[in-house]
Amino acid sequence: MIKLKNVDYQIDQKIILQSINLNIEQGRTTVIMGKNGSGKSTLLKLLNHIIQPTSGLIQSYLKNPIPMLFQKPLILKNTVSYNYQILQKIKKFKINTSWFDQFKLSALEDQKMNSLSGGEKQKLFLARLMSFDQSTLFLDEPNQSLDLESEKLLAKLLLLEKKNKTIILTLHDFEMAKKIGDYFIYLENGKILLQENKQQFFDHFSS
Amino acid sequence: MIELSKILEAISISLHVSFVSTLFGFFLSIFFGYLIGTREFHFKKYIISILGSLTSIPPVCAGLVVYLIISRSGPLGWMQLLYTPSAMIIAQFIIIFPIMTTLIINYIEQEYPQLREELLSYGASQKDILMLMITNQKSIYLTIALIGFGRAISEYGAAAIVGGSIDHVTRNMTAMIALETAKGNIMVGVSLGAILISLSLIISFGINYFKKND
Repeated sequence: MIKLKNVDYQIDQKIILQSINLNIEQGRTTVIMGKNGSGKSTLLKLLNHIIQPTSGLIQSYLKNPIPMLFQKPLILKNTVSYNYQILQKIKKFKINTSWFDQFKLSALEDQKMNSLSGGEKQKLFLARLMSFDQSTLFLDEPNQSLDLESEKLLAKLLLLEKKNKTIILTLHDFEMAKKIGDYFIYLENGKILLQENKQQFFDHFSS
Repeated sequence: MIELSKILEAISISLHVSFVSTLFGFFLSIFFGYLIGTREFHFKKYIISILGSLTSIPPVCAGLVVYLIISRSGPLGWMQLLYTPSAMIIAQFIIIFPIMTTLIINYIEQEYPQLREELLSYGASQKDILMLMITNQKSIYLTIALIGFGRAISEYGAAAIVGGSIDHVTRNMTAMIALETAKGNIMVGVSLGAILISLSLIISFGINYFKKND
């Protein structure tokens, strides 16, 4: 379990997150939602130990940061295959190519990164992250820039992954959230407005 | 009429002095740029703003400072550097170092925080992060080196003060242009000016080429 107790986070006097109390259970898919600038990405980074809270306590089964999907992932000026493999050289993990194959990225292997569309890049970033067999996934807006078909494929792949993984992700898309999420957190201006299971959460928005 | 060998000698002195000052400027600005850009410490803002102010230091003033330091009565007078190519290298270094360091700090402050966050999540060491930053944007470093070289080779005031425009020793292109024009050899001045402009254009094309092809 990941537990946050009275967590605050601020940068240069600007409060990004305030009084966050949260329990994230292992084995379920937690979706963090909220408007732009509500603190979703910051919360995800705090949960993954990428950044440390200004005050408050975080207790987690993860002791160190693990590879995660960032909103603006690392792009190196080279080919697709170079970008796919370079982080594996640092992490030295067993490589799982299933997402790379599912997104049909082998056709783009020799292309330069600057020739790819936003959606193609996003597929590469997802495949790169998923090449590491991890039991916990942190995904910051995994469906950004994806077309409808790729988004459907992503949802299908995540539904397969969630069977044996803990997934924590940020999303704007309610449809996708409903499809894959088990537990939902809604942030507004750096504060948690709602944290509920699927039924309760969507009842709020349907009423 | 001035001999061709003298013109070639001035070109060679210019290229040699500017190349060495750029080389020192380049490596030291990368070192200090990374040291300042990747760390948070007291007075960081002040150091960056001082470096920023020094980017527009008038070359004559830089030359004057170096002159006061290396002249016979100055603290480094015993080294007998005045009116040598080494003195010109030091003066040019003082002019280009703040420019190159400021450019490197700007680049690092833009790229480093995000790169660091993601690479740390992959367990990368600080060395891995720095190596990736350097190899990922080679064109930035080449551009910075060319900007430094362009500034060094085209400046006159500082090199003239500490170099003294001594024939065969410290008379570089800019000094020769000033001298020959003053003597009425307008054509020599114009020819050397054209060579200098050509070098600037080559540098400018080089910068654009690296930017496009990286």
